[in-house]
Amino acid sequence: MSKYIALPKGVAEKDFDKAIAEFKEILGADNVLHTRERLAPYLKIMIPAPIEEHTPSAAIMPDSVEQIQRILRVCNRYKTPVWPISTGKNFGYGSAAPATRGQIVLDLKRLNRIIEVDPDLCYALVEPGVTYQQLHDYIKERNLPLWLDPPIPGPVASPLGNTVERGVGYTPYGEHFLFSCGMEVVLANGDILRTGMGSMPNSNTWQVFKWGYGPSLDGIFTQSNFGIVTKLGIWLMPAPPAYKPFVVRYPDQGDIVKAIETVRPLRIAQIIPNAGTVSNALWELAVVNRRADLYTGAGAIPDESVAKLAKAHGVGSWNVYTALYGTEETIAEHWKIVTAAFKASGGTVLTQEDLGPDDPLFNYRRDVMRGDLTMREFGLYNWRGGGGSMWFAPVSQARGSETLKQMGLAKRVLNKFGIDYVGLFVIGWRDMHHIIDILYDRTLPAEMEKARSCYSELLDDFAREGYGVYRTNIDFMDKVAKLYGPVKASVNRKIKKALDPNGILAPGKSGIHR
Amino acid sequence: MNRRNFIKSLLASGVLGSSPLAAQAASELFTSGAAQPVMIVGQSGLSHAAELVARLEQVLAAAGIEHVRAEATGTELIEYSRVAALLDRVPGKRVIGVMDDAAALIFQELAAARGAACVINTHHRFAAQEVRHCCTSAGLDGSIVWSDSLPDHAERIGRLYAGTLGAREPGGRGGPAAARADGAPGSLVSFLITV
Repeated sequence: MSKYIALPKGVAEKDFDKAIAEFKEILGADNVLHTRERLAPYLKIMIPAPIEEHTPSAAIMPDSVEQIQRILRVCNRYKTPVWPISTGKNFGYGSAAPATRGQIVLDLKRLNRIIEVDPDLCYALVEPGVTYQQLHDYIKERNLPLWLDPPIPGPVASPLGNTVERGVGYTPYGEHFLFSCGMEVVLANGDILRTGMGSMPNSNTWQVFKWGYGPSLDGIFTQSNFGIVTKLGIWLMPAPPAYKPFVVRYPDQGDIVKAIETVRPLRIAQIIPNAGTVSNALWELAVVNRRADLYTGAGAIPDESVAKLAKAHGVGSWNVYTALYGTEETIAEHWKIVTAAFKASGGTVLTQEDLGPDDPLFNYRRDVMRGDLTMREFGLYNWRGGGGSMWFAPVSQARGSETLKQMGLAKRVLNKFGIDYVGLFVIGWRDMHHIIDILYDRTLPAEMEKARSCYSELLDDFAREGYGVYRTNIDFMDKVAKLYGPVKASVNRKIKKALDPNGILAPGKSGIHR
Repeated sequence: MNRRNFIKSLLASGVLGSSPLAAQAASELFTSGAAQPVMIVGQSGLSHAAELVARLEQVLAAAGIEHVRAEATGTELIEYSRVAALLDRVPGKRVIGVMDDAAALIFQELAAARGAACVINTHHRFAAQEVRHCCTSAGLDGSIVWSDSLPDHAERIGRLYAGTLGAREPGGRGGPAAARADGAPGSLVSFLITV
C-alpha cells in the first residue's frame, strides 16, 4: 500500500519519492505537503463529486518564479503534473482540488507581492497569492482614490486567480479579464513569457496597452493549462465623485422580459455602466433565510409559493440591482433617464432612502457594486445546509426573451430533481451571465447524486438549445469541452502539445489533455 | 487503531480507553497546543447552537480542559474584520466553532489563511426527534455518519471534541443539563481547528 494518499497517473511510487525529495530540496520540507492531514484543505470541495476522483498527491508552495522554474524541471523529469492555484477559493467550482486524481497542487499563495499600484494610470500588477483584502488594505493605507472589483468570495479571493478564471464582479469593471492588461506566464519548459507590451524589454506600457504586437496571447492562458500565470496587470477604477445604487423590483416571474429589455439599451449606452444583477426572488430569500424556515414541502418550491414568499418578504419576483456613477450632475441627469425607463416598464424603483439603512439585501449589493469587500452572499450556503454548492453558469443574449427561455429551461430540470431555482443574471456588455447555485446537502449521498445528475442534464438541455456555460467545475470539464466541438478541442490539443509536450501542467483543466 | 475507529470509540457512551489508544490515534494536529486554553466560538441566535456550546463547556470543564467562550451573531461571523478580530483573540492554538454553514466556511477559510488546520468538521442536521451528524476529520478517509436522539446529541458531541482535545476521560454527565433546544428543524456545523 502506498504511503501517499494518491499518486500521479502513470508515475511509480519510487519516482514520486524522488520528485518529492527534489521538491523538498528546492522549497524546504515545510512547503511540501503529502500526508492526508496536511492535504486536508485541498480535499475540501462543495461540488457533488467523490473526492477520490480529485485527490491530490501532494501540495507544494513556491515563493518565487525561479522556484517554479526549478519545480517544472522536476515535473518534466518525472512526469508529475502540477495543478496551479492562486488562493484556491473557487467555491462551487472545485475549490483547491485538481481536475484529476494524483496531481500535485501548486499552491501559489506565497507569491503574494503587490508589485506596483499606479494611481495615475490606475492599474495594479499583482502576483497570484495577493488577495482582494490585501490589495484593499494597500490602497486604503495609501489613501489612493481607486476602487477594486471583487467577486463574491471577496476578501479571500485572488484578483489574479479570479481573472484567469474569467470571473466577474459588479462594478463597471466587472468583466475582469476585459479589465486586465499584461501577464507574466511561466511555460512548461521554464521559459517566462510576458504578454502584450511586456515582451519588449524595458517596456513601461505592459499594463496600459493590452494587445502588444502580433497575435495577442493573453486569452490562451485563461481557463487553461498552457502556462502558469505569475503576474497580472489589472485596471482599477478611479473612485467616482458620486455613486447611486438602486434596485428595481418586478412582481411577476414573466417580468424578466421587461426588466432585461429595459436595462439592455441603458447598459450598452453606458448610462448604466456596471455589471449589475437581476436576481430571482429565491436568490434574494436564500441569501438571508434558511429554507426550512420558509418551506417544508417536498421537492423544489413551486412558483406560487415563491411568489407568496416574495411578497411576504418584500422582494420582487425579479430584482434589478444596478447603479449610477459619476458626478452629482451626471448622475442627476442619468437618474431621470433610468427612472423613467424602469417605471414605464412596470418596475418599482427603490433607493437606500426608500429602503432604510438596514436592508441586508440592498446593502450587500450596494457594497459589491462599489467594490467593497463583503461575504454576505455566503448566506446562500445556509439555505439547505450540508456544505453542497455547485454553480451552473450559462450565457444568454441580453434579450428578455432569451433570459425567460433560459429560466424556463433551468427550472424544468431543477424541479425534476427537487432543486430550487436560486438564480440571477449578471448584466454583461451584450450578454447575461446566468448564474444558478445548485444547493444541496453534501452529507447525503443521494443528494450528491441528484445534484450531479441535475448538472449533467442542465448541460445537455442547454447545449441542445445552443447555450454554453462560461465556466464549469472540475468534475465536468471534459463534458463541457466536448460541447464546444471537435475543432476547438483539436486546436487546444495542438497548443497543449506544443507548449507542454509532457503534459505536466494541470491535465484535464477545461477538458484539455496532452 | 486508525483514525476512523478512534472517533467511533469517542462516540461510544463508554470511557475513551487507555492512554496508548489515544496516543496511537493522536497526531500533532490533534494535540497541538494541548496546554493552552481552547476557545469556543458560538453563533448567538442560532437554533441548537447554544445547547451545543453549553454542553461543550460542561464536558471540557469536567475533563479539566481550560476554555474561553466567544459569541458572535451570524452577521458578525460573515464579516472579515469581525472574524479576524476573533482569530486575533484566540488565547491558545485551538478553536471549536459552533455556527451555521456560511459562518463556518468563512471562519475556517480565514483561519486557514493564517495557517490553521481544520482537524474535525461535523455537519449536524436536526429533525423533530433526531439529529444526524456527518463528521470528517483531517487524516480520515471518508466521513462518519451517525444519528442521535435529540436529547443525547450534545453530550456525545461534547465528548467527541473533548476526546479529540486529548481528554482521557472526556467528561461525564456532570453538572446541570444545558437548556434544551426545541425540536425545530435546522442545521449547523461544529468544528475544531488548530491555529
